[in-house]
Amino acid sequence: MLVAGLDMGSLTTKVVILEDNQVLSWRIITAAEEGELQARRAIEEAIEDTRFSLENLAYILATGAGRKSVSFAHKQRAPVSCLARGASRLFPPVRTVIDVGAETCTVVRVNERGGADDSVGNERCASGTGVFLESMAKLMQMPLEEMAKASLLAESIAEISNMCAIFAEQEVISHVHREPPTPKNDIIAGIHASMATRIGGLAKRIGVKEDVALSGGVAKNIGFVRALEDNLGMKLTIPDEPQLLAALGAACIARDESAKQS
Amino acid sequence: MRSALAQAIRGWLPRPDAFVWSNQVCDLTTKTGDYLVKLYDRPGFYLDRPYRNNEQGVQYFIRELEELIHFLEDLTGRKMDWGRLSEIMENTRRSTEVFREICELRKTVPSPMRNQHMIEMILAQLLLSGAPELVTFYKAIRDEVKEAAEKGEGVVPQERHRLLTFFFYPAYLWKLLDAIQSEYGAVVVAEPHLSPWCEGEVDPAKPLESLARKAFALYDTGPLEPFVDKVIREVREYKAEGAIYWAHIGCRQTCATIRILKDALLEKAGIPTLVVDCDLADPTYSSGEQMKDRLEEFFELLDERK
Repeated sequence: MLVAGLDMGSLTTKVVILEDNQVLSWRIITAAEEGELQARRAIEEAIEDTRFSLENLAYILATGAGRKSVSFAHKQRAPVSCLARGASRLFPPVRTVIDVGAETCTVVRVNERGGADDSVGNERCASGTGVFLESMAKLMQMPLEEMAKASLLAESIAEISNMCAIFAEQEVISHVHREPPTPKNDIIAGIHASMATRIGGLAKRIGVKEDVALSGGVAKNIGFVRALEDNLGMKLTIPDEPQLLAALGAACIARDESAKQS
Repeated sequence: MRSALAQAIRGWLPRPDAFVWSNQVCDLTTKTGDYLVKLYDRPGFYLDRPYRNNEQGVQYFIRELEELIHFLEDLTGRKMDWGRLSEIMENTRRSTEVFREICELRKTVPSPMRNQHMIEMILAQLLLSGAPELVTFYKAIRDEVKEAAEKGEGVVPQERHRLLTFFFYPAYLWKLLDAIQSEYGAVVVAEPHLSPWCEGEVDPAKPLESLARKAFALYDTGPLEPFVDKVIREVREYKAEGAIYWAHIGCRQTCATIRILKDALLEKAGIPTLVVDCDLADPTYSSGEQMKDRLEEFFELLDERK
C-alpha cells in the first residue's frame, strides 16, 4: 500500500511517501507557488524517485498551516497529531515534541500510543520561530549556518532580555554599537539563549516530560539546540531530517486510514 | 477593576455618596476601593470575605455583613428592612433550586441543553439576583431542557464531545459556542467556575447566614484544592471528555491556576485541557479564526483518544 503525508508549512512543503511501513521517498521544497500547486509538485517530485506513479497513491493526508488548501488530499489533520505520531514512530520513548518551524512553535505532549495528550503553540509572537532567527541573521550579516556555529564559540552570552522580535532586534543593535562592541559570537549566543528561554517557557506550560524530541527547520541550528538543551537541562533527541517529522506522522496516519477503508 | 480605576482617574465616574467594595471576586478590588475612597473623599466600607471556607470564616463574614448594614443605616438614616431581605433570599432559594435541577439534567447523555444557555443564565443571575423574574426565567430553561432530556433528544443530532469550560467566554465570541455545537458536535456540560452559584443552602429565616454561605460557594477566592476536587468530581458526573480554559490575559488570579488544573485533569481524570489565550472584551488580542483553529485541533485530539 502506497500512501503520502504532506506537510504544508508556511515556507516549505514536505512530503513523505510510505510503502507499507517503509519510507520510500521524501522531498522538502521551498514555497514558491500557490498551496495546491506546490503540494502537487512536492508529491510529483517525491514519487519520481520510486517505481510508482501518482495514481498508485492510495491515500494522501495533509497537515500543516496550509493543509486546507490541498483539495486532492483524502483528509486533513492538525500538525499536533502528526507530530506526535511521527515522533512515536521514530523514537517510541519520546513523550514531548518541540517543533520550531518558520512561523510557528508547537509543543506536544505525546502518549504511549503515539497520540497527542496536550499541546501549546505560539499565538501572537514570532520571537520563538525560524523567521526570528532569519531576521537576526540578516542583522548580524551572517548566513544562518555560520551563525549556528558561531554561537558555540562564544565566551559569554550577551543578555537579550526582550521576548519581542522587534525589541530584541533593537537590543542586538545596541550590543553591536556599544563601546567596546559586544563580541559577535556572544551576541549570537544571546540570540539563541533568548529564543530558548521563550520556547522553554512555552514547553513548561504543558510540562516537559522526557524523552524530548526537537523537530522543524530550526532543529538544524546547532547553536539553538545547545541553548535549548541548557535551558531545559536535558539532552534533546533530533531526527536526521527534523523538518519531516509532521509529514512522516501524516503518512503513518494516512496508512492507518487507508487500511480502515480497505 | 482596572477599568473602574481608569474611569475614576479620568473623572468619568459620577461622584457617589459612599463606596462599598469587597474582595469576594478579585483580590485586586481590595486596594481599588481604598484608592477610590481617597480620590473622591467619600466614606467607604470594605466587606472582607475570609480566605477559608469554615465555620469560623462564615461567622466572621456574617459579622462583616452586619457591620455593612450598620454603615448603610448610618449613611442613609434608614433602617434595614429585614422582611424584604428574607423575601429576596426566598427568591434566591427558589432560583437556586431550579439551577440545581438544570445542572442535574445536563448530566444526561446526549446533552439536552444549548451551549449558550449558561451565558444567558449567568447574565440573568447578575442582573436579577433575588428577583422573582429570575425564577421564572430559570424555570423556562429547565422546562425546555427537561422536555428534551425526557425525550432523549440531544441538542445536537450526533454528540461527539462533552466539555467542561473554565472561566467566562470571550464576550465577542458567544456565537462560537453555537459553532462548536453545530460544526463539531461539541456540547458544554458544566462550567465549574460558574455553577458553584447553585451550591450552599439558602434559608430565608437566616438571611445573613445564607448570604455568607452563598458567598463561600464562589471558588474565585480561597484555597484551590477544594475547587480541584470539585472539578475532578464533575468530570465523572457529567461524563466530560475534554476541558477548555478561556485564559483571559487580564485575570492573573484565575490564570495562575491553569497549570494546576490542567495537570489534575489529565492525571486524575484522564482528560486533556485546551487553554485559549484571549481577552474578555478585546477581540484584537486573539482572533476568532485563530481560536477556531485551536478548537478544531483540540477536537481532533479528542477524536483520537476515543
